[in-house]
Amino acid sequence: MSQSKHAVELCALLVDETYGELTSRIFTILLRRGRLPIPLLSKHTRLSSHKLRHGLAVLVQENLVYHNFDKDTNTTHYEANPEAAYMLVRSGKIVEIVRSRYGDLAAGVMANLFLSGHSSVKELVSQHITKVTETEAKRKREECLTNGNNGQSKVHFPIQPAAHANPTGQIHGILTELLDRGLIQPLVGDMFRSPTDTFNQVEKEILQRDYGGSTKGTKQKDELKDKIRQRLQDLRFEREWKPKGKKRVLNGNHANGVNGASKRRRLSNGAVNGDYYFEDDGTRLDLNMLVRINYEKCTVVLRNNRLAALAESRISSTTAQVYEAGLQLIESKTPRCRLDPKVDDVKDLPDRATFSTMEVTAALSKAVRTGTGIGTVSSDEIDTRKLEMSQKLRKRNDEAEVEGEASEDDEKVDDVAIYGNGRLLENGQGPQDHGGDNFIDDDDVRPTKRAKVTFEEKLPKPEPAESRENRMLQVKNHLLLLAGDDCRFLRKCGSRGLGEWTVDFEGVTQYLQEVELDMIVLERFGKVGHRLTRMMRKLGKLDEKQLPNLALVKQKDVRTKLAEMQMAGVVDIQEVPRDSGRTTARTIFLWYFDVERVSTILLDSLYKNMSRCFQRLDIERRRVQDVLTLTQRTDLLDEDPEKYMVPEQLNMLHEIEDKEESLLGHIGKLDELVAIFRDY
Amino acid sequence: MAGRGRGRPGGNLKGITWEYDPSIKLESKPIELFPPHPNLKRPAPLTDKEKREISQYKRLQSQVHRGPLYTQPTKRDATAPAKTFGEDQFNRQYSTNPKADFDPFTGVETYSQRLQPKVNEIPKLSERPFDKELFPKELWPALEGEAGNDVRKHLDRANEKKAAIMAGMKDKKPADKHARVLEKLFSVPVDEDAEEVDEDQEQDAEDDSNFDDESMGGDYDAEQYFDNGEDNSEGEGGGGDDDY
Repeated sequence: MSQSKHAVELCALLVDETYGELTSRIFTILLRRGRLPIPLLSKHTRLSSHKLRHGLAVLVQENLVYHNFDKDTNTTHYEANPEAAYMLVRSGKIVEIVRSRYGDLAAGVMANLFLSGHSSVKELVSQHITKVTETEAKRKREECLTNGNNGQSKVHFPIQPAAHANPTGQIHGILTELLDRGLIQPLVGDMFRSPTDTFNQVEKEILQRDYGGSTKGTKQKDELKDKIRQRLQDLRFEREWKPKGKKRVLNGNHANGVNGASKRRRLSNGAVNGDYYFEDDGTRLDLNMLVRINYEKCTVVLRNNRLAALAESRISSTTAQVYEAGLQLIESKTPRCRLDPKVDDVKDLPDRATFSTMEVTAALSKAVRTGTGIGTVSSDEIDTRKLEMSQKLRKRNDEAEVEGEASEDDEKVDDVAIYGNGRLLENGQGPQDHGGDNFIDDDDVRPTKRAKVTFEEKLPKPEPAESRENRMLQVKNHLLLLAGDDCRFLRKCGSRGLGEWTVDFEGVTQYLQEVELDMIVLERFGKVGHRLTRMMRKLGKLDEKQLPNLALVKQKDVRTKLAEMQMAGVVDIQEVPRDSGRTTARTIFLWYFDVERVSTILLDSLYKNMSRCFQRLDIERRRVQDVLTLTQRTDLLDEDPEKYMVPEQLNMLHEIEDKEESLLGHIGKLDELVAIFRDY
Repeated sequence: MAGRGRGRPGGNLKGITWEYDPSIKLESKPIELFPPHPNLKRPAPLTDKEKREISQYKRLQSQVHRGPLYTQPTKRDATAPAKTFGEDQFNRQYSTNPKADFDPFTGVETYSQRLQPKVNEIPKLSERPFDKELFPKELWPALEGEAGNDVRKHLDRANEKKAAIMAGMKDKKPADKHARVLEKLFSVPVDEDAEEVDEDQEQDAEDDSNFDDESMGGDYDAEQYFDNGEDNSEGEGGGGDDDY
């Protein structure tokens, strides 16, 4: 994260909001001043070294601070980790997405990790077991109550399912799953060193070992660079989680009784109303292993979620589900959203992760009805004229706007979605008679050869084999739709397993960014501003004299608008004099719209906006301090406020809760934007 | 250019005349402090997913706040503006000495306050296990709770001294006491010089010796009046200034 003023402010506020004042004071100084040893920190914060050490201990525990011991000077330097601090705002989102995927228990584990920063497996297991025993005791008490009160009517309120027979095994199962998914990672000591320190150390080591202290010439320098990169990649690889848990041999009876049953249950109805079931497969993790949340992977998961939401808004919910299943398949091969230029070899990228249609079909939950979402009509009903017209129109537009690349022409799109009255989607062709490879090879539009499986009124339970076949084809149709969309959700890259697909995340992310930018410009500068920026984005730098003609706006209006936008930093001007005189008349004024720059400005204002929200929240809370302290009283902590509050107080409480919710909701939305522009 | 010239003969700017205009109204009202936003729209209502996210976030926050690692705010003036200029002003916002900032109206603990949550000024590190290997060595004492040892030693020593003096006083008769005080009066200046040489004290101490406050037996010592209190209350030997 760039260390702009507002970013610093936001991080400080976030730490303050979560871990309190002492830590936030230290963290702020570290952010502002860079790396510092304790004596200097104490000078700048005016805190006693006793307090300082305690605060630093908390910060280290919560992974908010890097530290590095320098042997030469015998001092320890501390450095803030703004990325981790920012992720505090996303904690709710991460816990929620883990809950939706792996159930409440896994969400509990994640929440515990957020609370303690990092902790050992032993601790997590014991926390889980105490929780389970507590809920079990509560459940028993409730059962007793119901039985005592009304013995006849048995089920008055839903009795929670009995706890897992073997909570230890269960928690190990959850942890293994999370580790396999990469959402949590094992922690080793050198993770507390900041990336720069690690880089410097590796550089120093290699210099000493291979070059005797210094390099000569560019060739050696390049060699050194490669070696450092290699070493950093190795280091990263060493840190990764490799499943090596001990499989405990279970005696047959037990295994069949517990595991067999649970497996069957899991297969038959995978998720019973969101209550995921982790069977104890005998995996035992090392109890002393330390784990923490892997933010990079969490961002990947959140991005996949966002892309699925985009697919849902553009196509349909069924297609989005198919897309999500596909994204989850390649999730394990995408460790992070954005590559680190220092570590990753940007030029020579490895092949992208792919997934095939068959894999998606297998991975897709049985609850998803793939038959829905796409309507197919017989060929004579399709209005191909309309389709051709739209196609032609698009081509003409492209020509008119004189653009070289970045059009749909070179993308060989032949599946076109027409959104007319009602969703009439035309799928290029029946895939089954072409072995699935016809998708890329032609440019013109072909009407459907034959109408196949169709609308939602499908047979409820067809023959299994046939249904599998059908399902596969339906899934394939969904994938084709995704690939044909303007967002380019997917790209076809092979024909293995009925078609192999990959995702160009950069393209989709860029699309997301463009949409958001357009939206913001439209809101702030109106239609004309929106049109001008879009033109400039597409055509590059434009002469001022050309703009009114292209935009079909009066010269005067264009100028006012452009000046307004320049003030806001959205567009800028470049002067190119035609002679040495530099007179106004003989100068070309080129206007341009720099997406990168605008994104940076936007990010900064987003940080600012978020920190203002937090400050507002603080003020609102202070206004009703009396009511809030009442709820925080030690004897009333877990009571229902309605029991002890008078109506006025209750109203105030609800009011502040509403305000909190709307402010936090706003912050969440802003965070989504930050994610789009910075993280995805 | 040509258009602008038209108004010139009258000596007026374009469009402005010296004629009396009864319809004109002077805008004397100050600008509104918070003018209405020109393009304000209500945000989209929160979806269920967002609501769940918020509730998860709030739950996490409240759990952290109840936990041992959270430190409560100690701002002197909670209503002070959030904007500060420079570190000094920033640091001055926070109370350093609870006794000096004591509010006699609300500070005295009352019976009804017994249920209020305890205020952490420093995180309670003893309440959870730490893996020491991951922390830099200089933080280990804090993790083990040994950091207070020095202070405790210091306090113990002071208490011992006091006890010894008290014991000495008890033994002797009032007349002896006078003699002792007199003895001190004469002996102190020499002692102090010796101490100065020994402990290599700062400039301030020299000034002290000029006033000879200590020669009064420490009965009234204005400079140390607050310092002592701070030392005892903070329990950590007064400020980080001794570190640099």
